Amino acid sequence: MNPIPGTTAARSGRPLPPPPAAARRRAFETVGELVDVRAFVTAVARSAGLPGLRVERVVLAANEVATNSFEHATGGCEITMWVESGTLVCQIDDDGRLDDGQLGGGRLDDGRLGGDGRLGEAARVPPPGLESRGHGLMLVDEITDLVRRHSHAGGTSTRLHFTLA
Amino acid sequence: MAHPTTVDSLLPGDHVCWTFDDHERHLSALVRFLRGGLARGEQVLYLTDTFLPDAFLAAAQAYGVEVREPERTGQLQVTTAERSYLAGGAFQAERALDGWRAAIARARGQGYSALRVAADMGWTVRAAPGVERLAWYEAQANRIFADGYVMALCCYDRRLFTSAELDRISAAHPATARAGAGAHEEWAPMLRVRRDPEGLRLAGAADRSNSEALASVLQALVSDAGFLPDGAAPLVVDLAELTFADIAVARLLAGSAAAAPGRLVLRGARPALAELLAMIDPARARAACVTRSPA
Repeated sequence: MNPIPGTTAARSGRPLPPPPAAARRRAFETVGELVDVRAFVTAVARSAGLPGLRVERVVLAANEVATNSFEHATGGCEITMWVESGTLVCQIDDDGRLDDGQLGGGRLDDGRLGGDGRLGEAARVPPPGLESRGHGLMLVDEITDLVRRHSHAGGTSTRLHFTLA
Repeated sequence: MAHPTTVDSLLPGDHVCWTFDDHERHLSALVRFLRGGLARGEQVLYLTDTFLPDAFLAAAQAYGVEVREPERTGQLQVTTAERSYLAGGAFQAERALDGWRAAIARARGQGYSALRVAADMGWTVRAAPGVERLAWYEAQANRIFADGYVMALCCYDRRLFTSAELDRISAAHPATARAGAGAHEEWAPMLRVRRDPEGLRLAGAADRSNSEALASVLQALVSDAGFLPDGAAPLVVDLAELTFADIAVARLLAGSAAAAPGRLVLRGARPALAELLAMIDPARARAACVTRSPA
């Protein structure tokens, strides 16, 4: 796995720095718009220069986080994408709160990352019930170079990082 | 609402949740649907909850569709949803499913190339016993429609359902024509599910918005696989045209193969899905990438 740029390696319990003004942004309301989520993410990931199979990983990860938003938040989600420091970033914001049920083994965001910003082995221990949505989010962690989740008063931000190199 | 032209994209075997919020376009879509079916020599049924049957037939005639002769021969049948789904006062999902099997047998027996059904689903919001099983019924119906003989257009008036209710009902259909579908670009059903003697073919995309439909068909396939005689060729789930599967769908596919080892196999997965299957079930993933017909 590629090293993660230092600017994005802070612990995820802290607020995330705001996306750049030039980021592409779109809001989605219902699960029926997942097809539009995928079209939007595909277009941005392709224009960032990612090759085909890696575009599909970005789409799979974003689709999963957005699905989770539609199921657990009330106001849909907003997706914001940009490139920074050789990394494609896809952020999904919703008005829901992360809880144990969503993340399987009770792994809240403060424990998500090691000090160097990489995923720790603990993040890969499967949850007891493989049918849980938490398993889907763990697979997102597997296919994404870095995942940062931050819950705040207004909801949850999930930031997916994909190295371009 | 969905554009009336969306119905032109349907093929036998499709089962679509078609949403509308104005009766002019609803009528226009229904007329296109029945005109297309009559022209192809298919039997056409319309279970209306919107129009009096005679008024609908007169409207179709006014739109330029010759309905009198097909109505006389039985090629075209228009009846009320009350008289079909709610015959006997309650909605009995199993009886309705048996009704489709019988209607298919009759249509086949009469030599029609397909059975085209449009059904207004507004009756489901009236307090009839049994309607709480609507989503279950819609999901089960896929097992019948996947055989590829029936084209089913389920018409849902968006004004009668909450968006959460519609999401739940939509998920039991392989495809939904939502508000705006077909207005700016050509619409096609998101997923096509076809059952044949060899197994199942999936074409399109499967995600949370339609996965209940797929789950129902896969569950039936697992059950069928259990009845294969020893040594028979396994049933195949052909994934070659499945362009997207979310993680839950990939788990569903892997779980189906695992539930009937050697009797149900996945084939033809595209690279992204093959990669995902490999993460979920490494032992079977290699077989899933094999194309269906090795040269």
